[in-house]
Amino acid sequence: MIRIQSVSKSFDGYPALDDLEMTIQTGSIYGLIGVNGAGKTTIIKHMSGMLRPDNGIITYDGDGIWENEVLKQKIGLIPDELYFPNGYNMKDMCRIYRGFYESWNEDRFEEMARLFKLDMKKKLRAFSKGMKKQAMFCLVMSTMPMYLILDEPIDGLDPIVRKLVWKFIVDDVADHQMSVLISSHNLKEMEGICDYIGIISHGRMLLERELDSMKSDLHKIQVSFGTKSPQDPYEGLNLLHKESRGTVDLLIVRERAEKIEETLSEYDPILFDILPLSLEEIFIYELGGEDDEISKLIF
Amino acid sequence: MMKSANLYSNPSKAWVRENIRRFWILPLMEFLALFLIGILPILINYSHYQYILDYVNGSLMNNNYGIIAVFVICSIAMSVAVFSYIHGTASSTVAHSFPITRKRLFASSFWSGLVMLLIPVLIITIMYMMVSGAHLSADYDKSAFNPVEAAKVITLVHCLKWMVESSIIIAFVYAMSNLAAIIAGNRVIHVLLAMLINGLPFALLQLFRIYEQEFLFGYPHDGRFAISMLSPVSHAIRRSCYMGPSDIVPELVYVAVVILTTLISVWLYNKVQLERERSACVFPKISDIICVIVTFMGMTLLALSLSYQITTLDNGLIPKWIFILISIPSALVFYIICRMIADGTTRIFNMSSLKKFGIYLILAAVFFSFTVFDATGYQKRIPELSQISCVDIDSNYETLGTIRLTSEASIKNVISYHKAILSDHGGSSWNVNGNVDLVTLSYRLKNGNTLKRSYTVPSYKKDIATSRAYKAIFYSREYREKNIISYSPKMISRISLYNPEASGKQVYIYPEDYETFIAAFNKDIINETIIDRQTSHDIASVEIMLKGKYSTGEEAITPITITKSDKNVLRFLKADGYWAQYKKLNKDQ
Repeated sequence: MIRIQSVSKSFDGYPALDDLEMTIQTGSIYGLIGVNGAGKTTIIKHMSGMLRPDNGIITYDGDGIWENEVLKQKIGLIPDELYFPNGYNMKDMCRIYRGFYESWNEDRFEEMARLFKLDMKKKLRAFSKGMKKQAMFCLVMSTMPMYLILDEPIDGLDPIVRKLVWKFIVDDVADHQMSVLISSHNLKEMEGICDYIGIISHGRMLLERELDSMKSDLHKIQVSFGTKSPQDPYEGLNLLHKESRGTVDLLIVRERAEKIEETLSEYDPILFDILPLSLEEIFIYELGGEDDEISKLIF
Repeated sequence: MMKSANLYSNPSKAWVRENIRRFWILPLMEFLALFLIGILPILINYSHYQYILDYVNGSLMNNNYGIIAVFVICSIAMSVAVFSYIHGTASSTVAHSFPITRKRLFASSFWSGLVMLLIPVLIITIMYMMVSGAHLSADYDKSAFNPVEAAKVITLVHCLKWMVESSIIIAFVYAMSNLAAIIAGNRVIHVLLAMLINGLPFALLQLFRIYEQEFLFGYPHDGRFAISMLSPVSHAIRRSCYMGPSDIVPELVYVAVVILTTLISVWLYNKVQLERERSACVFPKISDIICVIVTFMGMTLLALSLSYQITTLDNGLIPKWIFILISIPSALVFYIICRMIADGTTRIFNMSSLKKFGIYLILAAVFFSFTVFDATGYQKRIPELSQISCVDIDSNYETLGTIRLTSEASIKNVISYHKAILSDHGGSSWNVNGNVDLVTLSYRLKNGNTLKRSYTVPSYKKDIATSRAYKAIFYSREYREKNIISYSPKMISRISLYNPEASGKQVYIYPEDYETFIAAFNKDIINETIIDRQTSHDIASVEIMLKGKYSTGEEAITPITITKSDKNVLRFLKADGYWAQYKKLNKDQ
């Protein structure tokens, strides 16, 4: 488990991280969402041991990250800005990573490079942005990390490669309980891959939830009682939003599905549907969607 | 808390290997440059070694500017190369995410760079040994070259000394440049800071000396201590002989400085907030200190040069108030430039910058009060007779260089002379724009201290109190006795007559004539008047070489000059045919 406890960091008096709290469960995929400048890259740099927080601690299964080279052996980082020394190709980079990481897996590297169709002899600086990301992904995944930190990982990747990237990540999570943190400024990307979502704004954690529990708690209901609408049929339900179109009401309710069904069936509705909620909708109703920064994430 | 183990932290093999793979071109360039400067000339002149004997000698003494430039440039370039990863956001993120601590990362970069710098030195040392068979050609000038002496130039000992000294120079410059790497936020500032830090002690002390010499009347011309010793670079350039026993202590100090600087660098590296990289300096307080130092240097140079241009010297010294008036705007100009570079913006006109400039002005005012305005009374200080054990006097009038006066009468004479200088200075009779004499007085005090003063005084004139006071010294019995040559002929290995303006050949006095020569010379000294000494021009130079050497390894040579007033010496030289030989020699040349 990765724990970030009360981490604060300011740059020249400007707070980049403000008492940030985060927990990434072992064997889970955590999506860190925030607009540009929210503090995503800053917390990732702290989590990779590059920066030291002004306050607070970052631990991986109880061990502090700062100057901990044993722990760093287990961490794989794909930063937003990639770096390859001038003139280096995949083979050269492989040599560096092999030298640093004890658990380097050569077979995996070769297999991934083949799957991603990466030219081992071509200079990496001549690669496109997406190819560079793939190259870095191959290198980092071949170190067999226990903790994987990805800063905007699929930026610039085409949908096929994206799928391949997600496949490798999900397989590793399933196979050896790898914990993953993925940062993104796009909520849509995170849907369907993340177990947990955290929304960061102005260096603070606005909301941190397990996606399944959020989905089981929040429901979108389409219901109609025809022309003989009962008086206040929704009494007893935690109604977050109601919208009427003719005789059909569209409801967002924070309640267990069974209770909703039980409550509304008493009035014998002519239409009753529980519709799937998108991640965007969940966050709109969780956060209200009024904050300009939140709006940017969703729309 | 710094620990010595920091420096020896086990380097990461992977990082060392990568550095060597990436930057091998630098040691190759270093090797080629050293080969071109040091080895190739020997190979070209292998069988007529006489043409480059002095050059090779100078190179092996590290007295060769080319070799020193290669060491300095390569050391700074290597530091920039191996620590370049710190200054880029992406490279820094990747490097610091690797499973390696900062200490090990530093140690790996440090050692890989140092090893790459030292390997060419080692190879060149071996190559020097391989070309040690270089020899004089058959037609060499036998009067100018001694084959035995020539064979003693490229020896194992000299080569090893060269290797040790070169390694220390490289390590020193490299360590200072690494400190600059940690402090700087980008590569350009790293290079500039590396040059600044390497030259900083030398430059600052030189500036302090300039202040003292320009504003403190009597400040010794040779300085209080040897500034060249501050760095192995200047030390090597200034020293014109091979490393000897007297160099062991300075060289060990340089090694200690290298270790200390590296420990400080490691300690700072652990403190570096990498988010500050790409700004000029990653430590704001150090940035402020550098601004103050550079402003001070810039202000001094600009104010001094303008003062020289727009004012006339006041009896040898720069007018104080004019200097101060020029200094303030000069400081402002340099402070603004430094601040803009440090902050990376032209928007520096704020309260914080103003406060820092205010602090600079206060520091400058304190410094000026001690130098420009002599708050300690340095200029007027003359020790009491009871405090003095002896006085060394060195001026244009001493035949054998510095003379030590010990009698009370002589010391009283010197004190009177010193007081006369202070009293005359600034008066109408004091004119140092015409003929001048340079005089240095060193009072050896009974408490073990020395009070030393140097003055440029108007040449001897009867109507100046200073001259009258000097006359008392010149004609005193002790001064006369100490001006004569006291060597016994047995102590002398050689006396030769030569023309300093024509290099090379000399006329040697036969050993059986040493006693006669010395007797004639001493007789002339005893009879010489102050006017003789002042007006007679040198017509020949004489070198008296003693048997044995000084502790520094240098030859024990006493140079003296012969003037027209040295009648007895000239009579001896003419009678024994030496003068005719000397004339012939000059004519031939």
